[in-house]
Amino acid sequence: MRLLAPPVGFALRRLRARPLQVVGLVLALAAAAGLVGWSSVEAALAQETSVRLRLAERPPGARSFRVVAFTQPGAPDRRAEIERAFAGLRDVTAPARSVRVWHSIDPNDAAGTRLVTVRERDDLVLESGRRPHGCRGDVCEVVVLTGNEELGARVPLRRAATALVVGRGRLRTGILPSTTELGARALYVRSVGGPLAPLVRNDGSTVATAAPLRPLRVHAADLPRLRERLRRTIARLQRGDPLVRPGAPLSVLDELDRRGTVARRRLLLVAGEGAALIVAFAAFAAATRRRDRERAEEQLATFGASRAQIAVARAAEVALPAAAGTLLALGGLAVVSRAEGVAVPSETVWTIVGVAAAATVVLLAAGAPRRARFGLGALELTALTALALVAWQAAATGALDANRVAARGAGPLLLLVPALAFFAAGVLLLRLLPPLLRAAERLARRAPVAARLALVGAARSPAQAAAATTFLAVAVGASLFSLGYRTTLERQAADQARFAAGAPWRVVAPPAGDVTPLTRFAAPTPALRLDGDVLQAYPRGGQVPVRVLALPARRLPQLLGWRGGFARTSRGELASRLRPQPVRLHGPPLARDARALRAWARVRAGEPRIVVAHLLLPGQRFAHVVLGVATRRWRLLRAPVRDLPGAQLVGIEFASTSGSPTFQYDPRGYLELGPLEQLARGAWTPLPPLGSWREAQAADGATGYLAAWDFTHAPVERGIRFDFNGTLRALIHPKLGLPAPPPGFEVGAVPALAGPPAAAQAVDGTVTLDVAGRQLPVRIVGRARLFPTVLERPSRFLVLDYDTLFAALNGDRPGTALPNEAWFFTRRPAAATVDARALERRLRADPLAAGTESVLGLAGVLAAALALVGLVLASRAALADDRLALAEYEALGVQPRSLRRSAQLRLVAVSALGIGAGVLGAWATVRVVGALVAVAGTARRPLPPIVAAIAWPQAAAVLVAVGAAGVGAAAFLTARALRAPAARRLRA
Amino acid sequence: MSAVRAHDLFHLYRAPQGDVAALRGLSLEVADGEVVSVLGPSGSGKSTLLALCAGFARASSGTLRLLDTPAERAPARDLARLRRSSIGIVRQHYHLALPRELTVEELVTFPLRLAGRREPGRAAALLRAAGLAGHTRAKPAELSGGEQQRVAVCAALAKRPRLLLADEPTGELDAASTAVVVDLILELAADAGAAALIVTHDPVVAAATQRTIHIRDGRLAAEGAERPVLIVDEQGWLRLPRRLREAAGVQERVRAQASWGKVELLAEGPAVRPPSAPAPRLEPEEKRATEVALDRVTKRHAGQERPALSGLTWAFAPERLHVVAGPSGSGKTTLLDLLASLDAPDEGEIWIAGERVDALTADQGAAFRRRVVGYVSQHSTLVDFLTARENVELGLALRGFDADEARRRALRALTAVGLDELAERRADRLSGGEQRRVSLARALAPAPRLLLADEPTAHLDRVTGRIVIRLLQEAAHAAGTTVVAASHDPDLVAAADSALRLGM
Repeated sequence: MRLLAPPVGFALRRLRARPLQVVGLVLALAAAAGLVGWSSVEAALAQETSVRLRLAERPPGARSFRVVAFTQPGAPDRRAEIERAFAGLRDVTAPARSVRVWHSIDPNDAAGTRLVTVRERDDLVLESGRRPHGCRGDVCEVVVLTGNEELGARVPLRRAATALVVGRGRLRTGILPSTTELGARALYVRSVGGPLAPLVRNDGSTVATAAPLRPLRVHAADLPRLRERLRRTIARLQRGDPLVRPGAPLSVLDELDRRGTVARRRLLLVAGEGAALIVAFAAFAAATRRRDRERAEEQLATFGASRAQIAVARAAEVALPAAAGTLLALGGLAVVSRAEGVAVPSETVWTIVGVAAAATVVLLAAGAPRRARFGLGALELTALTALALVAWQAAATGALDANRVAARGAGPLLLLVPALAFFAAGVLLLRLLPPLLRAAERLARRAPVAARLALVGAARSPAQAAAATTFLAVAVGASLFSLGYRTTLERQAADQARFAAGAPWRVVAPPAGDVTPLTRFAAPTPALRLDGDVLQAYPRGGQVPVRVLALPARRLPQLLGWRGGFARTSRGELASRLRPQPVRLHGPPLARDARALRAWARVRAGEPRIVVAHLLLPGQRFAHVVLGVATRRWRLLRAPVRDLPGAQLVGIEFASTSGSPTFQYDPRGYLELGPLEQLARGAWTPLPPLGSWREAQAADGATGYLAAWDFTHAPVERGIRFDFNGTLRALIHPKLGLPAPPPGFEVGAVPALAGPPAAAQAVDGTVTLDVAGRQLPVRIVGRARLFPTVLERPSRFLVLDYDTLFAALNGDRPGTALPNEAWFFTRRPAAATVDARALERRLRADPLAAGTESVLGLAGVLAAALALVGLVLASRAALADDRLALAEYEALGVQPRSLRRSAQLRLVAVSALGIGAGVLGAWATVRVVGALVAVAGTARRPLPPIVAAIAWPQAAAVLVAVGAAGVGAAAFLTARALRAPAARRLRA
Repeated sequence: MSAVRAHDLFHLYRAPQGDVAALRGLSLEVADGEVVSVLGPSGSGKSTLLALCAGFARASSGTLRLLDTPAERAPARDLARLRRSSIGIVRQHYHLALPRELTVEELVTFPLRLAGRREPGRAAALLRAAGLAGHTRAKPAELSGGEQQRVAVCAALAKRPRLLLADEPTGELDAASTAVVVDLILELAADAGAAALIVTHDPVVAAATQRTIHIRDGRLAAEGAERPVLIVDEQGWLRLPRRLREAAGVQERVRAQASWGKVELLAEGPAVRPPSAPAPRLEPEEKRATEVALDRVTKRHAGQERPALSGLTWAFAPERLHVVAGPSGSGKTTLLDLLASLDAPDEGEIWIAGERVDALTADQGAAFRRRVVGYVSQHSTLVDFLTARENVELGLALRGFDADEARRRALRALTAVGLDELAERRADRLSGGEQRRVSLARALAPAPRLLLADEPTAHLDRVTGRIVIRLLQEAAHAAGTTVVAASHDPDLVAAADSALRLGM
């Protein structure tokens, strides 16, 4: 130790001699190390918040540890063991609640009356009446949980007791896994004692116990451990006993953990970036002080210091600022983490220490590394080794596989990508710059003095220029990468919301729900979303399930969430292909005040026919008006129509009166129908003649014959005759504009935009779509990878023109397919189911997304600030190196202003080179990372896929700031460096 | 016992043009306590020999025993230990060799501390002996060059080494400082009983040592063992070692009484400077007519009490070689800077070629230099990745010469300085002396009317120095350039047509 103290003291004296530089180095290292730590803390915090929110927003039943146990008389009672299991989880769960449902007390009727007891009084939620007091004599007060018994009713319970209904209620949700457990009649009783005991003595029961996880007690860092605890508890309870069925929201916990891990590791990208900054700054600082360091070592050697002592002095000089920076960063981190209430992960501390150690090693080993004889130096070897390791690891572990990354989160290897990219760029610059600068100097020999001297100056200190360029490249690159990646995530959130919404607002009818609400809104764009199957081409013969979406083709160019990359064809072109000719289900309109419809009709067939008028109402609803039954004699059929303003007559059906047709059914004969008239304003007026209408075609190709007809001996002179011709589809409708149906189909081929799986089934450009209970021929007129609003199985879709599909499905079967969505492009509906902006806000408010964005934003700003510092330091170092040369040039007769210009030119050129390299590096890194980390801010794999974006305004701001700082620093420092008389500078 | 015993030493180093032999079979023995000066031309292997003896490099072949340690096969750790305990090193560039962060006292005790020794009073004694007792808390930057080198000598000898290695310890010092430093080395080495190996170009230093060896082309070329106590230099000045002066009570002046075969020196009292007479003024016509005229020029540097130049009036005749001599700090370099219009005087006028140049702006000064002046600074730097020719061409290009003319002039100038064969060698692969000559060629190539050279022969061996002196003479007499050189090189002073002595 005695021998080591002097070199340490020497190092301290040297550090004391340049306080500003040391403070700068310490602060820079602290800032970069702080970035590593802060990103980690922020990630932990975001994950913690996310876990709490996601758990809290789930109903208790969906986040409960629950056990359903079936008791049987004579079977071992495991309730105590179950209680112990719940007690073991009490640190993370709310108190357990339990419901016991006795099996049916009615002999020979498993679905009979069930008695129910609860452990906690408030597990019974009273809806009317009061709580039961118990039994008085053989009358027991009960609360009806399921069943129709009214208050005050008396229900005999076998012969042992009578239940008096004193209330109606329900059980607290989340305890019983399903209300079917309660059967058709469930009566809550206070207890099963007294007269009730004999009823249940020989019966089993279902005991459901549940304890919801408490969001505030579940910590993100403990998710894997908690999951394991739950898994073990479940395994122990269900081992060998089929009557005990435990369950826990393991998948929820897994999902939360996975998302958190993905987000955390992605934030470690920032840490990797920070680490790269630290190492680059260290290398840069070392390069700028290389000569000074070498001189100090020569001095020590001259004084007789051993190699160990020299190494100790060098290490102390480097390690002390590095340690100070690290401690400062860790201290700051401790303060921040305490304020945020999040523990700093130990791996973060070790990462910071490791990176600081790496920076120290770089500082120790830096300077211009000596090249080996064959042009391969230690740096190149290190870079090549690192690349080889990454390639090997990537191949062996799939760490760079985008799918794997999206599923499991970025592995540590991926985190090295930015740092490695910057390192490789640095080595490349370090090796390429010297010969390039020399070559440039040779080329510029006839250039003006300032330009030539600038190149001479740069080529004289290529290592310094390379270090400055590399650091600038790393810092600017890191800044632009952070800002670009942040913008990418922001834009992704917007894209994702727009893709999910498809339109600014959308109202979606519930499945099989009433579509009437869709008509309440003004100016909706109706849409049809159906599940269908594309029949697979020979020889597989299966089906490809697809989502069928019908939208008005004219809305295609206005869709939100569409990207040019989805399809090769423009949306305008696709729209025109989807609707090549006007197709619409329409018919003669009824007067707004029409009160009734009538028509003369008779039928000459085997049975009377019901004449039904199909009306299309505004809002794409249908009304079916039965005019009456046509018989063999002429009859005036009449039916009232009220409150159907805007209705159009879109079909008239001559329905069979004989019920379900059998295979022997062979409709023959004809039906004659006079002009259809409407009663409006007290007068009957005829509707347009039906002679030009078309017959509907059945699936077997059979069709009736429709003809305009002149009647004799009839109450009306003319009308139509419909010859049944054996068709089961006795319906006529106006012309729709659809092409003629090919053999075997009821309608002509409709054009569609298809996703790849559906398009792959096309033969001659056509597929068969099974939708809404019928098969449609579909002509594929375009292909797209994705389509907005198709989120499940996103590539499996067919998109058609709404009017075309609506007409195709409803033309001969009115009312078969009703619009189940309304899209709004201009005005917000009163109650939108999907709101694009709200969706975007929700995505961006996700703690994981918000945390990621804030960390990236700070990293961008910090890196830009470091770039500014680096720029000034680089300028200073370059001028210090050139000081004597500049003075000597001045002594040789070069004018100071030329020297100033040359120095400025050199600094600006080096800065521009670094900034340019940084821009390229950032662009490449954003693309690589964006491609590999295919998850959005919320750590979910997004639709549409993530696409790298360039943060133009922020990038411009950073570049302008750094550029202005570069020019300013060059101007100021050059003027300062040349201010003193040349004589003094020559002697310095 | 021998401090250094080298036998058939070879040392090869790798260079772009192939392996180069710096030492080629050198054999040498330095006894304990013996002081040996090593002379030789630039590139002869002197510094390599010192590097081997210091353990900084290994011999390629041959044997080298340092203080009875076989250096050629001893582990690096042992050599480092030997260096730490028993070898003292004095480097030529004192301003680079001394850490600027430490005080004088710390610098002297630092080698002891590195060796893990504590010798209270040792530093004080050494500094007292070196005349630096009053500067113990000063930093190197606050000392003159001679003082700094004395500190370096004290530091090297603080640990009482058995071997002292000094590489041109007086290379950057004026004559007075040289004498002091040489005396100090000899004296302290004798006190410590150390052998010393002193590489030098300076015959005065060599003459002061017990033994002199000459190295040429990596071999021992000649050896002289005479030990003249007193030296009469080429100008006829007699130099007395300090120990002898002190023993005789001689201070700054002596009275000489000559008789056949002997000169008797009698000590006199302290010298008294004559009151400086007011400097004569030059008439305006005289200033315009004279090539270089200084009229009562005063220059004071910031932070210094005494002016570097005070009321100097002088005229340099055209086409002559003029030398400005004087001790360090006497204002030689300042005068050259003023003549080059690199700095402006506080008072007085400077006329060059009929043009007044003492009040030019920076741009005007640059234009003036481009037209009239060739300048060789003391620490002249070349662009390391350019060849010798390209460096000279760059200088010409900066003056506006076209490429062809620049190439022609560059080759001619390099031929003139004897470097025509090395014209295409990169500057960083030239020896220090060769680089100096390239700098001179760069200044001479444009055939300036006035050539200003600051210590043009410093760091050069005597042969090279003479070549440079002849070049300067030719420039003055044949090419019609007025040459003003600042130097304390007696050879140059002797060769000059006139000498201006400053600080006397």
